[in-house]
Amino acid sequence: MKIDSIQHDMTLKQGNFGLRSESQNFREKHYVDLCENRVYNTDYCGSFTGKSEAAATTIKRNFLDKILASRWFGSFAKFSQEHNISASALIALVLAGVMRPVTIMALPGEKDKEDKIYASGHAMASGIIGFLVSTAITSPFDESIKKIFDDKKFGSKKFKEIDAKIAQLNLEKAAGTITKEAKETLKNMMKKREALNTLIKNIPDWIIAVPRAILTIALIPPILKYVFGLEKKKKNSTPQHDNNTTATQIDFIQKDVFKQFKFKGGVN
Amino acid sequence: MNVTFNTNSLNNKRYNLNNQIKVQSFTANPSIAAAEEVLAKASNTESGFFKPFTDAYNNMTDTIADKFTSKLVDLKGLNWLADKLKNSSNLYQHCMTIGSVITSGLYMQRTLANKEFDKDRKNPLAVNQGLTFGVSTIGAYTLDKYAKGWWDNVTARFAGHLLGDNKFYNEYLKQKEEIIKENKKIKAEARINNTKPELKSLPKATKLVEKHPYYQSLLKNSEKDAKVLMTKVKGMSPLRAMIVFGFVYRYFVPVVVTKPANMLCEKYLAHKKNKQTSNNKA
Repeated sequence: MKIDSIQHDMTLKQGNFGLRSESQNFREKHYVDLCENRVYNTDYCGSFTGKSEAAATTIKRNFLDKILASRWFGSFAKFSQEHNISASALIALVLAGVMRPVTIMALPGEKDKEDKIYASGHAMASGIIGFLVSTAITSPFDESIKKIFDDKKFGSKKFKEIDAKIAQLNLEKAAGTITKEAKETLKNMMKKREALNTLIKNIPDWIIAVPRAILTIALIPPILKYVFGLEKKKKNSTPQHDNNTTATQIDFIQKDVFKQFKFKGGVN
Repeated sequence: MNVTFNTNSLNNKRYNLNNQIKVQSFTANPSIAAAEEVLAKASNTESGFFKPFTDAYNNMTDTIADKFTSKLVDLKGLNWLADKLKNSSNLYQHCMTIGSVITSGLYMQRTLANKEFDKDRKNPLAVNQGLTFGVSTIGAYTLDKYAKGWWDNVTARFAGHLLGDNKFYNEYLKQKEEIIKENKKIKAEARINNTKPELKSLPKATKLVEKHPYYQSLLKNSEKDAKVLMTKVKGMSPLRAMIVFGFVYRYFVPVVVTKPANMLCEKYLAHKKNKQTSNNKA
């Protein structure tokens, strides 16, 4: 490997723009033959023009760029593509397990503080169970899908034939010998493969929706009691006023018949 | 290995001539290169402690792939559905909605099927649950639609980071702007001619990544890394839907929508009760 005279402009025009999310070794390894085309961010201008607007834009850009360039974001984007259900449950965990309790507790109303604590604990427990159950059930299945669609290790003869046809048409496309009809066929085949992949990854969510809901309902009271130390007191006379859909908002939920079953709407 | 770095802007011919500055250079030490190789190998090999577990997990997923998933992939019904939905730009969103239809439907069914529950209450409550779900689903789709344009820009920016090319984002924006302008013209012409406009599709970050020289180089040198890069870029689309739908279903609805919906439900029940009482008196 030989790299010569890489110019780094160290004047104020040059911003230290940490674009890379992979290691330098990784890039050097794979980008050797592109040195002459490689962009070293020398055109990124820190905009020291004295204009506050430009400075504000720079700061804003840097914040978003920091997130996008971080390794965790890249990993999470990959996780979202490979594990749709699990990633969705993880986002639900952040929203229901962190943001919702914070908002519930921040809302005014001293009277129903106990209900608020219970609702917050309920939201957290529901988020945790949803994530754990979804991840435990779907992760091996997602891995098996990856082995068929991406690694092409498994799959029926018919599926492998379709893959071979796509590969052949792609080669023709690269060589420029592909006909208009074949190009259309390739486009349709690729779209169908992508749709099949999305459906297969998400159908387990439909299958596990009911047992997961039942399991969540069954596990929430013991988790609230033994993990969070919360236990709902019986209030037969006074109706509940809460901000949580899933637990105590509706007064009829206190009836004996509903003690085993609580209302909620939404994804999980 | 021979690397030469000149790391400041003062490195111009005139300055060098005047100051007799030495050009920086680095010749790799073979022992360092060997050590780097060992480290690279070590980072790629799995820890001995976890190996039995990862092996067992791999075997399990191999069996699932071979005996179950590969058969599922060949199902006629599924292939028919994939064929019908292949052009849908919201397929993942539909999948999430079906999941929540099942869950919400279960709760509604349980409300309606409950014998120990007042008939006057259970019907409006089930309707309330259904309406809350319906309104929030429409809201989620609408929010997702509006977030898409901005998120596509974020995706291009993210792709630029992965490719190490900060011009990528600007080029994407330029192309997008041009197509938007062209589409406006097409729309105006179609309005005048009273015909259906054939709009051009906006540029996709994934398509631009495929054409990028760095990605092409990766494909040649390491297909696995190229796949990882593309998976990350593709992952941005489901990530948007997850955030939007998750926000609506798991945060906005429980915190903001449910309380007013329940208050309305209670008011309706009270009104119904009053009406009944006055009717009975009359």
